[in-house]
Amino acid sequence: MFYQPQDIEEALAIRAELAAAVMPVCGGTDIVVALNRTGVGAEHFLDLSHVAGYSDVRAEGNGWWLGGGATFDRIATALSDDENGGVRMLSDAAMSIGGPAIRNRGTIAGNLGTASPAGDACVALLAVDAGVELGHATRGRRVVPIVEYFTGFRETALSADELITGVRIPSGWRTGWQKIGKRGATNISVVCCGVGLSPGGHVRIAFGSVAPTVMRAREAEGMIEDCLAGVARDAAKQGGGGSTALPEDVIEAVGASAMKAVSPIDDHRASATYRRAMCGVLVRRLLREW
Amino acid sequence: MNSQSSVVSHQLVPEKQRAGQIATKDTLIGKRIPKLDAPEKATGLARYIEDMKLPRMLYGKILFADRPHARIVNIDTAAAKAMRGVRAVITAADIELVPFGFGQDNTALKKDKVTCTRDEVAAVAADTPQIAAEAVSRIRVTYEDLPVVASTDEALAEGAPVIHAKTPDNVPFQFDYSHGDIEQGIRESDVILEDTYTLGRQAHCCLGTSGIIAHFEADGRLTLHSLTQVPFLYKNDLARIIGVAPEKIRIIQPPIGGGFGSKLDIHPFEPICVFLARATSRPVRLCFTREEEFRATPTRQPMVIHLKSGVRKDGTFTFRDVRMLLDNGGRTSWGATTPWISMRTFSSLYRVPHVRQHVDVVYTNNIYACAFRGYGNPQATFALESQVDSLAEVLDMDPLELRLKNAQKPGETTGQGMVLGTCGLADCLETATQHAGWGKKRRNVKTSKRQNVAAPNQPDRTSFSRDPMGSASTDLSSHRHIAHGIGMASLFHVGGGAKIYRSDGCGTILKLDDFGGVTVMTGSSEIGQGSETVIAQIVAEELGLSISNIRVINNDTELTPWDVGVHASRTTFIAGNSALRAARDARRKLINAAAARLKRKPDDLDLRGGKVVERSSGEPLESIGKIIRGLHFGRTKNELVMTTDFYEPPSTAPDKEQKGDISACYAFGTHVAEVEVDLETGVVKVLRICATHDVGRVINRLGIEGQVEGGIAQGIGYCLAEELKVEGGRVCNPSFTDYKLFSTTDLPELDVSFVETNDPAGPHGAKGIGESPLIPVAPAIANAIYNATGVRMTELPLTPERVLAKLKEAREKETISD
Repeated sequence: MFYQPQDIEEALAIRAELAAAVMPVCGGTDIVVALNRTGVGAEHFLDLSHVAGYSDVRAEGNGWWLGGGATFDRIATALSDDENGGVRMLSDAAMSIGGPAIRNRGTIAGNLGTASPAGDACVALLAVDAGVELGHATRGRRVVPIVEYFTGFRETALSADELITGVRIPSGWRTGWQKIGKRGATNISVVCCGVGLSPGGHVRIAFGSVAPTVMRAREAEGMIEDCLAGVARDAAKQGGGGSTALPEDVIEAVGASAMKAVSPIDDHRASATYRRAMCGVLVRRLLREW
Repeated sequence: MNSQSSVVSHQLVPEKQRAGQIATKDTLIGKRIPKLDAPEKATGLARYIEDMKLPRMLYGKILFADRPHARIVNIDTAAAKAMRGVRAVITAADIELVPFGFGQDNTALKKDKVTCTRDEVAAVAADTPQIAAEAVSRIRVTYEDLPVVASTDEALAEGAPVIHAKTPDNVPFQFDYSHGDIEQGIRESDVILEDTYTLGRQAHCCLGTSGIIAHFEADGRLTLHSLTQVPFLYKNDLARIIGVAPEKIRIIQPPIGGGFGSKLDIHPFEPICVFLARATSRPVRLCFTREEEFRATPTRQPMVIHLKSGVRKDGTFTFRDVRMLLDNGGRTSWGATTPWISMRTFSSLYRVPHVRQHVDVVYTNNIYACAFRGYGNPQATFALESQVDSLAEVLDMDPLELRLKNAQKPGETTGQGMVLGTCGLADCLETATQHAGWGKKRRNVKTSKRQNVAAPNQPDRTSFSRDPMGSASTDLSSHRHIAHGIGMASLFHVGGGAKIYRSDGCGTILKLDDFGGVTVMTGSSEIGQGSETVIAQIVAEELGLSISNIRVINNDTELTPWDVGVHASRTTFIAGNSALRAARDARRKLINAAAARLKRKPDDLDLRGGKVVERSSGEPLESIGKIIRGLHFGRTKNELVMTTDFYEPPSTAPDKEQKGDISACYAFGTHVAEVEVDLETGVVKVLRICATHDVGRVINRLGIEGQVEGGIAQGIGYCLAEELKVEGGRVCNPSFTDYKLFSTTDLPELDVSFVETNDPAGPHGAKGIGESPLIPVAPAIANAIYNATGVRMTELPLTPERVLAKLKEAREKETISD
């Protein structure tokens, strides 16, 4: 069966009833390829592209709400000139995915659902502590912190009877985004890196394509947090505002720590050695620009 | 600048040159004409082979070996045959095995042994594509694996496994060429360089995948809906393989979604489809999925080129000594002969008195290669133009100056016997570099080498634009880890066909209806290159009609006269000449009829805007339709306006030494690339390419710009990203996710210009352009990378990882030598 509900409650009801037997699909950029190659192991399809409001992108409180069906093109456009640094990075990440055709179809829920270790948008979300909202027909909505969402290689916290309804993006973060692929604009990551600094002084360093899931380099994050806390203490003593410019030795150490934290593999896209080295290069670059 | 030619870039109108000749006539030649098939392709109305269904049609599917080297012990088709909806399952045991391919080492289905993963072992025809796929998966083949020969090195090693019994040394072909005396060249040289260049495996990536429909008529005739780009040769070759007389075979070509040389050979899937149609007595369609297209169609030849060349102190080239090693794969297609074209670049790009080339074509258990846009020339040009750049460096000479010094002049004959009647090479060099701002942008690598190759460990923090609230992913180009460079490369290629066969001709049948509508039946196929539009333009120009009056029929061997095929960048030149001559005959007939009717001299009349006009004043005298009807329904005599032509170019087939004037004219071009190299990541960004081509004369400006831009896109891909990875004989990246093409959104700024040398042999002076734009792209980029970094890239593609490794290696060498 091919279900094409018009509203989210109807969609959730179908999903709750059929669970793993139904494959949610929206833009189809992953699913259609999988279907043609190996199949997707589901009897039914649940097309969410007609669900009212599912593709919305809107300001919500101080942050943003991305409907699960928000396409990368819509995200890139809507968030590109926002003054909030955090979502600007998300816009850059969205813009770096595929070509125009893929960005017109591919959605944030699709990227989260596929949960590829090379999922660019997943890395960006990880770098700003986004919240993934999962919906169930009767149990209602729950928001899973992004860091708890990815549970293993292409495995997530999403239950077979739930749908990804949307993503919450917090406000006030400062961020940066870098990606290396083998081609100009329309590319899959060889390595990508997002960094975020929360208003409360939390640091996030996220990588894609260097581990079984998108991942964070926690030790490196801690090194920056300690450094920034020290700077802030000193600044407070002197009565001035804290700078976030990091000393070069800290940046180097963070780079080295990040390279240790990742566990890339050799494949036809790049060698593990190259990927690991690039983690250091990208994170150092982003921190120097902070 | 040479006096006989004029440089025309972009909108500079060629009409100027003809001003004296046809002052009052509005010419179509050189105009921007949208391709005639563009509306149907843009709106999705074009019916490609996958859209076609014949009544009672079945769907074919092939079982590929999926192992690189193995003996076939047994094939069990029982489970497949037992499936409902399966109409035929065939193996080598069910067909007559006629060897084919350039090496006669291929058969439609394989009997005893498979020599590459794409070898076809069995095939199914079924009611639906799904049933066919399921049935194929139920065929059980028992193999006895043999040791895999995964590289040319392994193939040439002592005691290497023999891939084909008749070739115990695994070297099915060797090609040798020479002119002059290498030893003398060596003696006369002040500088000699020697390098090895390694070229990767590029896939054609036609957006329309391979496909065919085979259909036997009740009387035994066979109709094939085929995507071949050589329908007449194909008909003849296929006839032998399938045991049908060639005159009983009709080839109809649906719109072809790209060829690039991939459809010059007969591929096993084509006779297989015919065998399935014969076995079932029903039409069968067999189309590849994208994954099959990557796994089971040939690629560009991977080559290792060892090049040694010399130069005098004053920059005069002395000699080139070339050794080439081709990875032929497990079977041989026409692609094995690409060294024939490689050698023309080594012998004739710039003046060089002494040249020697030796080529070994080596069997491996890899997938095999075939013709691909440039036909061995992109590989040769990469090696040669990289080394020319190195020679300039050693001589401390501007690479432009070195090239200009050795560029031939019109009228010269090259060492291989090719007569360069028109030659815009020097003009191309000057124009492209002028557009690129060569003198200003090129840095001297020797003097600035020390500063730039140094590892960028200590970034220059002061240069950062700091934007504390914004995202950090801003432009990094001002940073020290980015190096800028500019590089150039030229090309030499055939421009007026290539006499490989005894005839390199093309036929045209032209007829006018009673109202001035024209049907042009041409032997040459449209494969996306825009030949249909160029032919319509040439005919419309001659007959003074609007292009919308011309209909080109070019896809049915039952209707169209013979043509050798779409290859060697020959269609505008050869088919254009044939169409021009047929149109001239029709024009003469119309003018003479009009002169008789209007009682004027033929010379006083012209055909313009659908009318017979007075040549001098342009005053309309009579509609062309009326003249035609006057002939057709005449009181005393009744005639139709129908003409035919067969154009054979004035070229000669190469002699035993591969020498001779193989083409009626030759094409030249120069590309200048500007790049940015990220020294920390190895990412190369091409900022701009200025491309100038000697095209003789622009016929369709929109079409030719498209050809050049498309060639550059394919060339950038070849240089930076495109590589079908084959490990242990197996394809690793059979999808567009992992095989990277450069699409329109990835392209840099392109500055396309033309040198118009007005070749006397060409239609309106035009030469061929199809392959040329791809050929110099990779060496231009690699030379720009050298200019940016001082590091020479010798292995394609230049993936970030490969570039970074090379930069690192160079840095380490520097450190040691410090």
